[in-house]
Amino acid sequence: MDVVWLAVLILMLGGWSLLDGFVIGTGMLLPRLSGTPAGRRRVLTGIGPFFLANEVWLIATIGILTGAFPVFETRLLSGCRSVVVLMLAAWIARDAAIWFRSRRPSDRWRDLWERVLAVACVCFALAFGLLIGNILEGLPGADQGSGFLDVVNPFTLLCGIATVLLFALHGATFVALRVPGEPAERATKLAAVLVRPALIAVALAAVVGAVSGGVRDAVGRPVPAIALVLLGLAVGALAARTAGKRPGRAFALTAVAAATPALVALAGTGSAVQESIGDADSLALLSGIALPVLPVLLLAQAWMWWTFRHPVGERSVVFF
Amino acid sequence: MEVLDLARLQFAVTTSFHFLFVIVTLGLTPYIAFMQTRYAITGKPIHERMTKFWGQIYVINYAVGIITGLLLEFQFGMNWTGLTAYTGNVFGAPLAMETLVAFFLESTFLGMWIFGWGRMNKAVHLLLFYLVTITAYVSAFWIIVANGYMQHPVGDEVRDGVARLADLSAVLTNPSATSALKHIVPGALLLGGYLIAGVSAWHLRRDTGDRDLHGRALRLGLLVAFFAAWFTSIMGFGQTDLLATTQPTKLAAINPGKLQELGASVPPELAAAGSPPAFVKSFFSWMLTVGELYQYIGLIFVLLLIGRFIERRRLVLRLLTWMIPIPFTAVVAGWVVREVGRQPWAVYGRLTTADAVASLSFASVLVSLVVFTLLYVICAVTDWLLIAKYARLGPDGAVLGRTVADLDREERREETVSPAY
Ligand code: HDD
Ligand code: HEM
Ligand code: HEM
Repeated sequence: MDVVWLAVLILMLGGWSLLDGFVIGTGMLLPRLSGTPAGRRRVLTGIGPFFLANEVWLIATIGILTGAFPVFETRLLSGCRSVVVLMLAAWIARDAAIWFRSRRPSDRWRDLWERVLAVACVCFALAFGLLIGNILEGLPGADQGSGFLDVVNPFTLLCGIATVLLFALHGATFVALRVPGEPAERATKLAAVLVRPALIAVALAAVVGAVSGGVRDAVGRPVPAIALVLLGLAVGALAARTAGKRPGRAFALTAVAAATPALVALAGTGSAVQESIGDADSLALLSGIALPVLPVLLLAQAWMWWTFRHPVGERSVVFF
Repeated sequence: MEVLDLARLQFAVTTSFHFLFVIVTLGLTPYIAFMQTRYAITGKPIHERMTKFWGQIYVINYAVGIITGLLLEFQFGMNWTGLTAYTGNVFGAPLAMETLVAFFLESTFLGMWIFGWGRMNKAVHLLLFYLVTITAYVSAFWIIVANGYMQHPVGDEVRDGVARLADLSAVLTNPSATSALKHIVPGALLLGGYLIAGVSAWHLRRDTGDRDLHGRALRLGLLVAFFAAWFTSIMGFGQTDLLATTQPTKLAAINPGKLQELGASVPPELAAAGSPPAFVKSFFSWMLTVGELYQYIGLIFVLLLIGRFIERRRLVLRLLTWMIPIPFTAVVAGWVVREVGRQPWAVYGRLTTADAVASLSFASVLVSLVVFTLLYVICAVTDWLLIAKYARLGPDGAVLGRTVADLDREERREETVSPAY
């Protein structure tokens, strides 16, 4: 059972990274994606149908942690409390900005929320990367009430920066694919600029992690972790070469790159996560009702993607 | 003030805000489902406009329902590690189911409903709204099951000081959860009905046009809310009686006479552990007052509906608008009764609140309390102002279903009634 639940956890967190990753990335870049409010509204229309359905993957991740890995959840959320607070505050601000931005016609109102959105998205990705770094370092003990400085160090900071850049890159390829016109042109240029720093940050984080004792102790399964890092670097490099010509392929490649941090962390420290599995009887009951609905959830999301498969055009419904 | 008090305050503030928004979701979706059904059947523009108008208010409200919910899910792992350690194996299942079955589907379908307007088959679009409504209620069900376990732990078995799930069906049919649901559902319909009636009354009084539309909504809201008020009260008294067996200390605090009348008493070991603060009694009385007020005044409103008399009585219409906030105060009061009345227990009779809290530093909890309260207040106030704005704009201001082409056209004409870009 524990392997199955670990797989579900990886699916959820990896899925969240590649889905909400492009919303976060687009949010960071929004002010640069178009020179007019009308163009930026088109960008928001591009993420519109997916926004709600994407963020819920992270909520589901937490639900699965509570249900299947309560000990790990406590160590993660309570142990890295300060980073979690930062991440939640950024998440709240991001959602507020997306929901409120287009609800009043005033320019000042829109500028305000666009700025909030960009800052919140950077903080959201940064905090998530810091958490990933801490998972890779084996997490501070729960209940220690660790301060900000206990969970922020060069390695975790590099993980944070790498995540910010990977999400930004992924957002850029999303816009290049989905929002034709000025935004797509600008996004293609931004993607080209972002690729190199993103790959350098990932490589640096990997090197610092490889020489740090804490990370080496915590990563019980180094082989898949290293393989995944290399895969992330490879797809990032490939994405750089296809960006201008094949936007669909570039988006698929940056999706894998955006999921890399979460996959590396959970695959690398998987054995520790597995050990924190909940009580067997409780879990058997949960599995009996939760696992059968997973295909339904994935089908619902597939239906949504199919419905909104067309890029933003004249007939697209505008809301955010 | 200790860490415990701060953590409790944080939970109280955040869940109360959350509930102020989700109760509107629960209270509006059935009405909107009804409106959209009529539109799907008749195809008449009036029903389409009504659905868009109320659908839009619901969607704007929904934003902060989500925003305030995000943090709640994390709070168990952040602040209540003792609770997670003790009940994680029981509690985790309903929470996990809520996120997977309810939220996951609700968010996916709501996004499709908003952005699929006019782009998909009408029947499928209606089906999506039914699914949104059902999943909203399913999420309420799972969360109340989790809360019901804290109120009245059943279906578990304690081994090595940790509760484990032994009987899932007992957890799901916990009387403390089912009785709460039976009270909350009509309470939500009461609140939603008066929200619809109050806004419609405002438009009728100001004669903003669309008299037919607002008149129909007013009648729908008042009629349903009248029955809902009676059910809310009846179920509320049922809950009170149940407390004699499940939580005698709570009943002793809110209605000691009832405890004697039912021949129950507080067992000495529970009495020794402590009892809830006395102020819960005033919250309980307020809820009773509101319940009775709406039961009887609702009858008058329903009688005034005959011959549409009510639509011409300006004072009554004004009163209806003023009455919108009152049910909101009752629902928060109800939760204070339920949650503070549970004290000093986090899991009644099993785990005290003091043992449930994580050993955190005072400063770190204070920071999160201040940060989140500030964010919540900003979001809630902004959202309420937006709801008021769109409610006043009326059906002409509805932005649901507008397309990129509509925006471009409006901008060329420069007669933006509602936000363009
Ligand atoms: C529209 C709102 C509303 C109204 C008019 C009432 N209630 Fe209520 N009440 C709620 C909304 C509510 C609630 C917010 O929905 C609560 C909080 C938790 C719950 O289960 O429902 C609640 C809780 C609650 C509890 C606590 C249950 C527990 O601790 O297990 C009791 C005893 C009552 N109610 C009793 C009543 C009575 C006797 C009422 C009328 C005469 C009444 N309520 C009117
Ligand atoms: C949305 C409706 C809810 C409201 C308004 C609400 C309100 C409150 C209040 C006022 C407190 C503080 C009690 C005190 O300090 O004396 C509290 C505590 C708490 N509630 Fe709720 N509650 C709600 C729903 C829930 C649900 C559904 C759960 C569980 C799934 C829950 C779990 C808790 C926990 C863990 C605490 C902290 C521990 C404690 O004080 O016992 N609450 N809540
Ligand atoms: C009686 C109390 C509660 C009820 C009836 C309730 C119901 C709902 C509903 C209907 C929604 C959908 C959003 C909306 O409609 O505005 C929602 C959102 C949410 N709730 Fe609650 N909730 C309650 C308490 C809680 C508690 C205690 C938690 C924490 C575990 C929680 C976590 C969440 C989360 C994370 C969301 C956002 C989900 C999304 O993105 O769709 N809720 N809640």
